[in-house]
Amino acid sequence: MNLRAFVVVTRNSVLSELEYRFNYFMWLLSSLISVAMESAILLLAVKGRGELGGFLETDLWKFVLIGITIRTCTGQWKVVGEGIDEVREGGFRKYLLQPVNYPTYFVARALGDKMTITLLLLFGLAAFKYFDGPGPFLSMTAAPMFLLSFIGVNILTWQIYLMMIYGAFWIDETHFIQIAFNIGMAVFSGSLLPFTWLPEGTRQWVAFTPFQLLGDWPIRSALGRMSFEEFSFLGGQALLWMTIFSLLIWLMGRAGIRRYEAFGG
Amino acid sequence: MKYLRLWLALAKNSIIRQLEYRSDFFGGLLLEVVWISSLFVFYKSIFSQVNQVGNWREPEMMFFAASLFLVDAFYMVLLSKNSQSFPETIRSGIFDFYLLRPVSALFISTFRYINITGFFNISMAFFLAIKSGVAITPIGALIWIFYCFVGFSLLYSLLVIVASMAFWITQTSSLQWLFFELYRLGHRPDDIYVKWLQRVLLFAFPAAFFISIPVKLALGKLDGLWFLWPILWTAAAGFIASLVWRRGLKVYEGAMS
Amino acid sequence: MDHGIVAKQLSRSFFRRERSGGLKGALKSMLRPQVKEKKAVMDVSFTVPYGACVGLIGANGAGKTTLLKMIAGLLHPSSGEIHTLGYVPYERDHKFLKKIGMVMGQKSQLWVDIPAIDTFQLLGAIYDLDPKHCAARVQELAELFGLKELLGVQVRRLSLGERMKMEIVASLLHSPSLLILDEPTIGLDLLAKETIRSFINTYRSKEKSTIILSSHDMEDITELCDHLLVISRGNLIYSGSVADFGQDQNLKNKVLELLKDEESTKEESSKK
Repeated sequence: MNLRAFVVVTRNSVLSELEYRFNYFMWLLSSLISVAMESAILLLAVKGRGELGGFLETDLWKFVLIGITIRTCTGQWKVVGEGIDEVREGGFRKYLLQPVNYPTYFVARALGDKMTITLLLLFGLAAFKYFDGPGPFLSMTAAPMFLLSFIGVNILTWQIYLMMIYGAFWIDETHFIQIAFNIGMAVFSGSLLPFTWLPEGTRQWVAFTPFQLLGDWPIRSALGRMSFEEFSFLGGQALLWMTIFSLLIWLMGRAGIRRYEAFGG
Repeated sequence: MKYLRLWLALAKNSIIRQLEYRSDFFGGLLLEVVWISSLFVFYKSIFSQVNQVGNWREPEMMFFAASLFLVDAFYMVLLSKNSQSFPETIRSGIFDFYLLRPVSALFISTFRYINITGFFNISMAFFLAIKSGVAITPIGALIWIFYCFVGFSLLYSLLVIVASMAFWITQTSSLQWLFFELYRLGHRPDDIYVKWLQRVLLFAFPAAFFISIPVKLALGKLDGLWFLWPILWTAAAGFIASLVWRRGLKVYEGAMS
Repeated sequence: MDHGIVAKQLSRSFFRRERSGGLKGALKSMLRPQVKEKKAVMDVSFTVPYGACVGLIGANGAGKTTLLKMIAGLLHPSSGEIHTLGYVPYERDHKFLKKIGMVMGQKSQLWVDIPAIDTFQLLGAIYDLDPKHCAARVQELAELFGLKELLGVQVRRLSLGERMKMEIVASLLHSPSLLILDEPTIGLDLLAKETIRSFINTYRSKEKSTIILSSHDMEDITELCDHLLVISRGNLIYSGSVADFGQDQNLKNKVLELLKDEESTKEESSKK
């Protein structure tokens, strides 16, 4: 698939999204409710102590805001749901009839779908700095680290979602896996609560998954709570996972499409 | 009695339907397991850092989480899919069939699908309630079950009101989304919120009555008139819901002829 | 090769899960699903010359869509050989894909939330058409089909007939040498059916591409096609010109009877 097609898919996704202005209101409301729910419990816990698990009250505020930003930008609902339905109900054949590469098409679609909200939230975060003195981007080193890890998280989640879509070639109902992933990601990636607070046992098995990369990595980078060594170590892990996922996606796509042809399409 | 039989028949068909789609069934179960464990880990993590959040100690908070599963499980088992599919039922005209049957159309519309994975949550809820180690009297336990039921009935009535809007407007999915977001606020104890939000949840959108108030009554954190409030709310919402539903039916019949 | 499509002893089977009714049956099939083979297309051989318009007729479930999907390369044949435009279709060479266009009556390739023109631009990019050329082509086709004012309307606000016309335009943008139409008139009212037909006729007289079209409406075929394939329960029972078919009253009645028969047995079995 050529670059021009990629750009047009992205543009069309932005246009589709803009058709439903009500969604923006709901996103705003939903984010505000999440802010209310999460900040309420954390602020109440820190009240009268000044510090909680290594976080000051202002740190916790920033943590909540960045966590919600990351989750809103990376958690795909619509595009992935659509992809799964296309595989299940036969709409997927249009990608086979046209000279396109589905993973590229999907990334363009996901990118376009989240484009406006991502830009809004990132600008919001950047503006936060000026309103509140030192904002979430604490230092000049934190900002590039955050952006880099933010791109990394997006690539990783796209890959994971792509595997779910391909999974629908075998399992009829991968919508549940999608929802379970979106719910589980919040807690186990350390974006709802600081990753270091998770019980020891949980952290041990999470270490075998890419979850920490999906929340803790960009959030602590943004908060300036990550040394460059740790950042690079996690970045290396991210690259490793990306390689594994790319391979899996390639294999699943090949086998899935063959199965699709075999079972009716 | 007739309705119990009808419900069992509907339940049987739903169960068959869900077993038919194996991955559907296991996927639903996976979702519940992930949800329960993530909530469990969430509170465990917080209480690994502090002993008390506001007025809530760990056992009490775990008991609250158990109650959340209980009420939400009933919501999942009985209502969530029905209320989501209701606007489509109206639009596609399938609702006509419901009206032709010699039973309450409201009953069929709201109890049509039964989600069996929710039963797993109900048992998990009781398991967690016992495991939470909360100090609760036998009377407290009875109060808990009774007021959770009252809270659930309130939720049911509000959902009927939202779903009934499909009689007037064709696209109600946004409204249901809005409702769900507000319902989500009830997933945490009401007294953790700032004062004005607490008042909203008590007097404007009564999400506090779904879980929070029943738990606080059972734990003896509230007394006196608080025992009356949930019942009044539920009765009022039930009354409005039946009014809205009947109005809606008239509109629907009017549109048909 | 002087044939657009060559099929030799083409066959295709599907496997389907089956179970007995009730809770017991459901539980049983959950543990050990029973699989049954169904032959959708059996030993079908035919050729389609370049530039022909071929009608494929048969009752629902006779195997029309399966055959079309094999021609387009969406399905692998279980056995036999198929060549489309000189390519092996299921290898889905991008050169091949750029030469075919397919419309499915019940599946949309348009983005419903945005105007059709935006999807057309996307297709222009996918098929690597020159943007200016693509825009001119859109205007030309829109003119031909009387769609000019509708190009800027969100697809979800179009009527079924208008949407179908847009679907056809979408698959014609890259001037395919082979156009495959699967039930293009399904679910449309008489007037809309008529416009779609005249649309295809006009297009055909203008550009000499090969068209294969399936339908269970005999009128579609007689108005549009010069060749005819009749398929029944996976078997090809007639292959020849439409004119011959029309003259042979005996054959015609037999085929119509067969189609009707098949429909009614279907209805009966679906009632059970």
